[in-house]
Amino acid sequence: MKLAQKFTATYLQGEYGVSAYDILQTPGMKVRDLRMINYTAGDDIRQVEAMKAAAGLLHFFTSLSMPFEVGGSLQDAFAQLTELIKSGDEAVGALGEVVDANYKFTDE
Amino acid sequence: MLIINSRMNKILNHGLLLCLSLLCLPGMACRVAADTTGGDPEASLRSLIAQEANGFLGQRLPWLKIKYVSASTTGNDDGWAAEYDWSRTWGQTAVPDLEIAPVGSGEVKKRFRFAQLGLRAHAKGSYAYGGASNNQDLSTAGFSLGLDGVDLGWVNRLDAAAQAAVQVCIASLGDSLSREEYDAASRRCGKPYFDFKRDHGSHAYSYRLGLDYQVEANDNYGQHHEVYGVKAVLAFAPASGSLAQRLNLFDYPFRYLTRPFSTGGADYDASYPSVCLALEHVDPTKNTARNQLPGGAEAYERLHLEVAFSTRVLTFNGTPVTFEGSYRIYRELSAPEAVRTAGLDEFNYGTAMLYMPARLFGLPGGRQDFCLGYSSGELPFDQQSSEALEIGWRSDLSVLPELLGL
Repeated sequence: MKLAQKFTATYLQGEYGVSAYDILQTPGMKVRDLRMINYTAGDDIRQVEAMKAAAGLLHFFTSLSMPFEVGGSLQDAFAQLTELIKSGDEAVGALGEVVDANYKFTDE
Repeated sequence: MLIINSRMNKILNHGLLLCLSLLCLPGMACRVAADTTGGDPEASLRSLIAQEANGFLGQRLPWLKIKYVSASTTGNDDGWAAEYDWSRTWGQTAVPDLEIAPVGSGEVKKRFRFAQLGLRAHAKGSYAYGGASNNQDLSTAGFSLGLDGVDLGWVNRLDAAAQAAVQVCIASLGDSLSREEYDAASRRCGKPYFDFKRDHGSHAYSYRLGLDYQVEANDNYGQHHEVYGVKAVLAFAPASGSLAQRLNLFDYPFRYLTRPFSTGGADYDASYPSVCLALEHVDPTKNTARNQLPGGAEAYERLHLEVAFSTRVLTFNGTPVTFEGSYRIYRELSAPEAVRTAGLDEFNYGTAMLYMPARLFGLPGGRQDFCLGYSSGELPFDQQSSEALEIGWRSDLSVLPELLGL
């Protein structure tokens, strides 16, 4: 299991209460299953809630002083995570892939 | 959702339909939004088609899905519908300056703040074929020029030793651990960060100020109107332990009545309800029902308010049960008498959902596989108010052996 996925799962467990093991091991689990935002709300509310959730995940990596990947940036990570969380339709692993693409981990 | 075999289906149908019969009220439409395919080859075929099509689309066009809609109100037909939810933003994003020292070093603090100025194109809704009607939401498409922002408070970092400890701890989590072992270890790894965040955290908020143009339509675009609006949206999460967090009245029923029954992980800070307020100018030229009324074809101003709240009901065996609800009001300002008499000057629509993990019912996996929902009211273009109770689940063939004890 890639470190980016493990780091992301640990944050999601602490913030949203969902089992880190389930996040890493459940086939077909989607971002929507984490209930990071209110999916009964309209487009605008989901947008602002998704931005807050995306920023929260990035705050975790900032607090750990995680270095950026070459070509990675806070802007890109923020925009990509916001879209993923807002739609909720992608597999939950997509969050870790965005993190992996923008931050440098020791297993890379 | 996947098709499930007849034995599994009978088990689930028996339990869930029993619930349904207890909860349905006279005059209320009830839906079972799941694979109720047992003994019905046509329904099985429809589910199979939807499953395969969505599997194919999910790889290429994740914003598009198809589903078979069962009529929820009298006068509507069953049929196929394509659901879409797409948006794209072009703009500039300002990000926080992260070059600061740890807390206590005496440096000036900076905010962990993002701001984005840009143009957003969006399309969300469904297109129903034939006489089918989805009745779930408006279909909308349009553009929005807006300023979006997020502020999570001060840029704080763990000290170097704690940073290293967290990183080493997470990296050492073994893939061979059991679920309980992995979750306990992962919780220990993240504890320094979440303790730090709780002790040094501040209020967090995000907002959107926008100028919008969009087309609102019914399911088959037979009726639509154009909407120009100015909009403000706010989401607010109070700091943990703050007075604002303790005064979150919306969360009181859950904080004091349900979360104490959690099996582990009862700590949770709910956000305040998110609010969207818009003043809109509506051109109803293509709204045929309204145009038949005296003065109904003239453009008008409308107030649109939406309030949305979500919280954790309780945590069961490491998985949360979640409540989500929203309420929308569309109120026409200075509506003509004929429009008021016809009841077309105000539309209210509310929905509440309870999402439960499969684990609550002894099934494996962390997905929110079961839901119980209630919706009531009417949206623009609806001719009459409706109520619906919805019970849904999705299942996976991989859980069958465990459920059946094989």
